[in-house]
Amino acid sequence: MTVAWIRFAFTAIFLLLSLLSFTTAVLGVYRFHFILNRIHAAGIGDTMGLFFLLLSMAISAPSLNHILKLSLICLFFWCSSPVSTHFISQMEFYTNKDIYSSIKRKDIPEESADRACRQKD
Amino acid sequence: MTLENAYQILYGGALVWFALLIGLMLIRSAIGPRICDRILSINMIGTMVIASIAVLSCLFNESYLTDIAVIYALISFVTVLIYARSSIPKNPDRQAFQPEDTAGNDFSNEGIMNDSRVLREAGKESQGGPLPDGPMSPLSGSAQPSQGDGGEERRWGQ
Repeated sequence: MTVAWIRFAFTAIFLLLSLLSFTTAVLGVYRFHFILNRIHAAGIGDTMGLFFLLLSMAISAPSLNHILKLSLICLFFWCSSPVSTHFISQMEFYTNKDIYSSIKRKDIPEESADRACRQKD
Repeated sequence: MTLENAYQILYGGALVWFALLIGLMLIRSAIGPRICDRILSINMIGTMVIASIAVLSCLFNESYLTDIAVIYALISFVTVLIYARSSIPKNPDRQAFQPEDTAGNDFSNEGIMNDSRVLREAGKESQGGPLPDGPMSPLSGSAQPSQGDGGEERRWGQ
């Protein structure tokens, strides 16, 4: 009985960690002003959030079959999430002509970046 | 409180929280403002639906629900990939794909053209002169990025 409660405690801890990660991701998507920062925030939920959740489910899973399938989901997401993120950021780069006006860099003054972005051919 | 009740409360609370987060991301996908935000929100909704399915599979002790989660993950990945790839121009010299709903979005490929302009401006203002005009410089020759002018390397300010 005690072992079962310890297992429940670990399940609860990892589940709460995963909920925290997903909440952080959603807050980041709402709070950040620059699209690449928002993509980074979403990546937290995709990798860490899902990993903690599947870990907590694997601890309380009834069979080995179940655990293997959960591991498959986790592995697939760790491979596919960076690819999705890469393509979304590439798409943003190609479609947003004012992307430089959102970046604050030391070597490029903000005014010159804005002016260059608004310049027409 | 029995162990079964404790698991039910834990999983039920997690599902309610996921439903709340999915609703928030749905609002985010509606308000946008750019198409990338919408795709990002849909991607996150897919992730959280997969997480909810995994929680349900443990709540009901049914391992076949994880198969559904795997298939959902595949479909979600392919959806994001197709949406993103269809908006990326294959040849930067050509006009990018323009969907019908382009309100507030600029699908031209001028972003890549602005790179050399920004660097040129920065070279004039912050470094006191233009950037070195070498074979790997984005300023050598034309500003067209497709001619292998090394603009790729300097694009993010390395």
